[in-house]
Amino acid sequence: MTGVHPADPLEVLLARYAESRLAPSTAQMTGLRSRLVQAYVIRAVREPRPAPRRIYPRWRWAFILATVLALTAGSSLAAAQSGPGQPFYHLRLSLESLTLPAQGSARVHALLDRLDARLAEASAASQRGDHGAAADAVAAYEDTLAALRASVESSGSDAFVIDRLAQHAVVLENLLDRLPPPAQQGLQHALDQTQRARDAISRRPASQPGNGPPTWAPGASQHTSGPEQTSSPEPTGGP
Amino acid sequence: MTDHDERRDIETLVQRAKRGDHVAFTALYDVYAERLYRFVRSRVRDDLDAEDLVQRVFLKMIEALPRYQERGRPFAAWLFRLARNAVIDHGRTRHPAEPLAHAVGAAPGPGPEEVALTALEIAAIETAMDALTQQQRDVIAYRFFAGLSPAEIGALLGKREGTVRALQFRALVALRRELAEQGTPDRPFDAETESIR
Repeated sequence: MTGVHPADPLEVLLARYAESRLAPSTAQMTGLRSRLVQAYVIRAVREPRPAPRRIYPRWRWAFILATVLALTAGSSLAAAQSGPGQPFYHLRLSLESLTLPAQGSARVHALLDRLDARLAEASAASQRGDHGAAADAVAAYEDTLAALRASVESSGSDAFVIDRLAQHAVVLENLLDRLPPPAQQGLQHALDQTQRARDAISRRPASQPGNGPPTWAPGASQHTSGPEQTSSPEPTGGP
Repeated sequence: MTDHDERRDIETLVQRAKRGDHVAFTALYDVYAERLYRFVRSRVRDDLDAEDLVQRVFLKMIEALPRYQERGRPFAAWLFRLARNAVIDHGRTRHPAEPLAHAVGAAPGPGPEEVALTALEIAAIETAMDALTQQQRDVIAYRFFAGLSPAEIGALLGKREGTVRALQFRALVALRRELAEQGTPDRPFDAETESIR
């Protein structure tokens, strides 16, 4: 027997007693075994064992999905109405970046449109005295500019890009005069980046013909690919 | 095979049986049926009652198995608790608690193995067992008739393993004393020399 020491006479006697007086006969055990296995099988067939309890039943998944959709829709709605300096502004920009063409001149055009939009936002914020929002828009402008440089290098379209960036530089210089010193630092950086981008694109081999419009008119972009084309950046001239 | 390995194997069988594997259920029957029978037989009037109770215990096990969860308690402890409850119910509804000597003495007749044990020894053990407390009888039955380990008995009775070993020690001392008082022929039992195992 399990764990019983065999050396003790009393325990040996108890074991012999159990063997001779308490043990069932083979016939008893065989008959019982047959009946019980049969009962077990019948029960298993009639009442299949319940599946392991799900941690997340189906209705809960549906609830989670609905919640996620509601949150996404709400966030998207809030983001679509957010301008620079507002909580969902960067979420809105991230969502917009998802709609950009993957490559080629279409992507370059779309990025230029976004640069226009960021400048328009910066100008509008500056006019209403919201320097934080203006700085936010200028920072977003810089991010978009970096993406533009990468896209121009792969697409080969550059002549009209240089033209558009020249116009942007004028707008940025005008803004520079209107923003307070803390915001001027970021704006100056953006201006420098714009100039570097123009220089870098100018040093590249001549662009292929037919790559987009050669000129730029503020607020009259020909390639609107996002909802941000609501206002135009200031062209030239001071306040 | 260590106790841990054995317990793990049993739990594997239990999990398979919960999923409807009749081979696993049969294996569990083979492991526990005779041990359950010996325990039950030590507590009831005759073989038929014992067989009926063992069948009831297994049927109850089939019903309850889907809800069984180990939770650190050996399966044997869970199963023998079913058996203990069945025996208690049996005693309440059919027969009052009966001394072991009367219960086993009502058996149809000695089996072939009984030749090895003299009638005097059998009578002495049964009388001595009847002199023990209920708790001491339970520990003797679980340990030496059903072959449960002290850990399994502890889980079954809700006591620590050390407490079960102490109970077993006291039960054996008492049993030895009773047997000595009866003056068994060769007096093989010395109440003073038992040690805790």
